[in-house]
Amino acid sequence: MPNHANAINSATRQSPWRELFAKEDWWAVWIGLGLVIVAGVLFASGASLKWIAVTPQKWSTIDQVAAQFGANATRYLALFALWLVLFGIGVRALGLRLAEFVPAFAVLFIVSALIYALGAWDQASRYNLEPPLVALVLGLLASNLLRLPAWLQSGLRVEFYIKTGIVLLGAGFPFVLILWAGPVAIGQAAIVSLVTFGVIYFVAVKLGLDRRLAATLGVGGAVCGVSGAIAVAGAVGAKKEHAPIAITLVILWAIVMIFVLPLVARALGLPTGVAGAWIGTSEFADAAGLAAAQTYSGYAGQAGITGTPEASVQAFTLMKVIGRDVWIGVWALVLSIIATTRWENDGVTSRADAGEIWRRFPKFVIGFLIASVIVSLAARGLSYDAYKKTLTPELVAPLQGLRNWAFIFCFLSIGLTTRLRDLATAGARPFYAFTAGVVVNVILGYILSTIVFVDFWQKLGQPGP
Amino acid sequence: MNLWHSPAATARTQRAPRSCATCRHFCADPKAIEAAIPGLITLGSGYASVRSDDGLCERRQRYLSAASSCSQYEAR
Repeated sequence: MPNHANAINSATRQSPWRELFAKEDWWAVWIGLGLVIVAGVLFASGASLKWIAVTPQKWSTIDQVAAQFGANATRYLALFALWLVLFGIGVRALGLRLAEFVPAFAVLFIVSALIYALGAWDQASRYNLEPPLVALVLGLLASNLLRLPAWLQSGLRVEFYIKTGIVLLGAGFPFVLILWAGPVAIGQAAIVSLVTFGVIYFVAVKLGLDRRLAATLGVGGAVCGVSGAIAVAGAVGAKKEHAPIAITLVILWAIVMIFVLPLVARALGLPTGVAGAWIGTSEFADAAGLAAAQTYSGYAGQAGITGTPEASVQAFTLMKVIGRDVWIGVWALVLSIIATTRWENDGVTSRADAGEIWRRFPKFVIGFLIASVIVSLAARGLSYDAYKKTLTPELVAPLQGLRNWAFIFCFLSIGLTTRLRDLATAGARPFYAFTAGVVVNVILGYILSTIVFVDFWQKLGQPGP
Repeated sequence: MNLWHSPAATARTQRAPRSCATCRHFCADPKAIEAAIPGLITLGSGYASVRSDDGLCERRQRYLSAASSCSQYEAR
């Protein structure tokens, strides 16, 4: 690892504020909140961000969509330049090569625009051509059947895009809704997380797996997927091969669930808010879950599916981000203490402290909450009519458009980075343990979302007064 | 190679100079971590806050917190 020592020595002399610019979470906050603030300032001065937040509109024929792109070419170019500059500054600050990121992002943007436009086809839902699913399938096929150039990898920053999208999502999320629904989401998520972790850990240990692997698998399945697995692997001092095993299983099951959960929920005719809560309880990663929830939002109004399109994504976010993600530091701290005091010691001493909770806190959630507060303050005092006729089209809708772009970049990146041949071999026993947790998680999540708390999640999806 | 090192780790490193953070066997570089852990970039990231300042110990073949320590410590 060349220059490693020099790098760490120079890093130790850096300002303590350096983390604010050296972590992806914080860059998602700066980009997302920056856009929200600019949109807010423009709105206050009678202007809007909507010119640059261009999105494909409904079309029926190829001529129509070609005409749309032709008429809005300048806006699409400006949007591309905006994203390129914002994400380019972020990836450069993280230490990635800009020379590779620029062409990679250009490819990502062009393919995303085509997928977004395909989703706007008036027959798209008839053929299940929802943009998240198309992006994922296309990416999976390309990454597993073609030899993609190495430079393309630099533009495929799944987490960076999804975190930025979640911060922007906060702008369409009334803060009172978070206060109203947050406690229920936390309660439901706590039940499912504890039970799922218990099942995976218990089965894994019974099958003779190392306790550190059992814990890594457990948090990966119960809390926040790959992020949970990597966080707990470090906290408990897992063996080098433990995190890759857990990550392989999370990815495989998460991708299966992207397709299964929305399709089963649609077959059952679940309202959008209820389906979103189930997906938020039973998916394993933010990016995968948002792909499923965004897909389901496209089913609103079809075949008896009630609720607003946004309710699916909102319920998912409450359940997954507020209910599960924010607790990762607590899980890491508790398991670190248990690993240090109860499990076999092979000569490595850990120093767990309460600061672990903040160090591992997913900071992009702060951006999500602040974005919600900003737009909620902007809406304060407005009548429902004024909110719908002024604030929504001029402030909220452009930010939602930008959010959808960030999500499509993410969904396409998931497919393009999932190379099955490169994943670690998980082995039968970790697979059985993790799968036991998946089964319990999906059933329990379904019962809690559709029976125990059904009235609550259904109400979330009702249109306003 | 651009090594990420958090302020929290810096503070702890200064308190515990023989921790993994300053050991020559330990690497917390996000780019190296992403290369060493297959699938991490698919639904996660080496640059995420949840990863804190953890890294790989090549000596013990373990993925450890930078604040950990052991008898095989060797200063950079």
